[in-house]
Amino acid sequence: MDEYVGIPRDHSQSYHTFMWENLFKHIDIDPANAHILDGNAQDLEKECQLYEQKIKEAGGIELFMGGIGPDGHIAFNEPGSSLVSRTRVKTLNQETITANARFFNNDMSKVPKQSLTVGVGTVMDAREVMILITGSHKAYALHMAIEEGVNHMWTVSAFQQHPRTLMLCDEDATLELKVKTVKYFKNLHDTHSCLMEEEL
Amino acid sequence: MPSVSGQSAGSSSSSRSLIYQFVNCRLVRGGQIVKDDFWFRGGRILNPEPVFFEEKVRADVRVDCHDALICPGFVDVQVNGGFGYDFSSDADRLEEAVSSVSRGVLATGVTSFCPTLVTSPDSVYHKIMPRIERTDGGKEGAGILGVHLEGPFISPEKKGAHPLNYIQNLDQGFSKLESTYGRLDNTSVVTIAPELTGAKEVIRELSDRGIVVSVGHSNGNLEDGEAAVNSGASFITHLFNAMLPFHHRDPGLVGLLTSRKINQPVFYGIIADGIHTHPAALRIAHRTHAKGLVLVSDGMAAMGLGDGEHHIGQMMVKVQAP
Repeated sequence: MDEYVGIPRDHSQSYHTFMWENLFKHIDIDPANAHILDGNAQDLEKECQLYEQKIKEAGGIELFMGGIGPDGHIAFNEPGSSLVSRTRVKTLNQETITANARFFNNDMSKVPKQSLTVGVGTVMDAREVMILITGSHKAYALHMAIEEGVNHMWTVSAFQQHPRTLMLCDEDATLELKVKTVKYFKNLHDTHSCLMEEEL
Repeated sequence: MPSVSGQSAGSSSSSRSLIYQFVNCRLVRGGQIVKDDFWFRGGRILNPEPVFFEEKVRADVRVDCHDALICPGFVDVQVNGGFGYDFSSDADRLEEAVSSVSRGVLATGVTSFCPTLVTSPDSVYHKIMPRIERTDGGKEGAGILGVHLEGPFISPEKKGAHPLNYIQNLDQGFSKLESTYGRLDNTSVVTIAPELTGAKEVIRELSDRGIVVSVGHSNGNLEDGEAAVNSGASFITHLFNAMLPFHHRDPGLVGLLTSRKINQPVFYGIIADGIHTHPAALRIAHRTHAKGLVLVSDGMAAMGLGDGEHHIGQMMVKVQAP
């Protein structure tokens, strides 16, 4: 869904490497069906347009699965990104660049300053969205994602307006939620489970 | 092999060799055993990442390895014989002995080794040395890396299984060594007791000729060992065995593992069978100098066989299950 601009494809921090190490090498997928934005493309704008076009040609995204950052960003749609954005070149904010320095031998000149990323609008078009949120360090982001209003400073909150979104979280991630909110979803889960059992 | 027939069917691959993917296996990577797939094409190990992202093709053949460990072939620098053959006493059927052992060790993962001769009379060296040549390994047998001459220039006090009456000194220097062995062009390793008079000069001459000098079968102290290493010795023959035991006031050759008075790090062979080296002693060696550790079998004629009587050089050995 995103990739740094200008780092080697097989760099340990590239999205290509992440996807290769964590998914592709473990499954029997046809490589022709794997599409990742190319951060080394000659024409980055064109690469982004092409990506949107390929999604359209494939009949749209069935399931978009992703995580979020502690600041509630989805893909590289950092705080302040437009909630109707499409796949594009995105300049990274200073905080992200500084935080990434540790992956590049603390050499600021080697840290990527730009990325390619799908837009919030691109994800909104998926038929289903699944967001994984784990750990107490992301608890505040989960709070902003579901207990406050839709806000471009917390881009994940956009999915409040998506018809089929699933937020998958662990207990730690719920630490900033109201007890009422947690109970609401847990009760919903219990009732739903009962209904499913009756059906069987 | 260039091919000119027809058009390649949509593949960007420059080679028509099949891509193999070994799955469900363990690999040795960066000193660790890791679980990962193993890819190769045309006899060469392949990085699967560019195959996926650039060539966009899958493996042609997938092989389930059932959790096997895949690693580079083992090198055994001390093999006296095996499968009923003893290199030092089977001069009459030496070629048969070498080819049988090199075929036999393949099943143990050894892909190259040093046929080792124990202390023997001059006539044995003259008969055998010209006939063990270095050869590359292959499906038919492990490669021969050159002979390991273990003796006869060793200490009578630390002779181990070597015959006392053929042990010799180095009082006459390198010419003595040359006349004893006859020729050295097929030799890779020579084990010498470093405390022998004249040892330093001989060690320097051998290492100048590209032959690895190993200290062992020795009654020498640490200083003898350090002088040998500073003269070019780089190996210790079966650490702990056939040398003075570790003593805190003079750690003997064992002390070479941590000595600060040597100009190059030393490697050491160790027989890790739990008998010739206690597991605790093995751990001491490994923890103090892991990078120098070299596993050796010191295998002899009985290797690969059951109970029975076998030769090791001029000696008889009876193998009997406890």
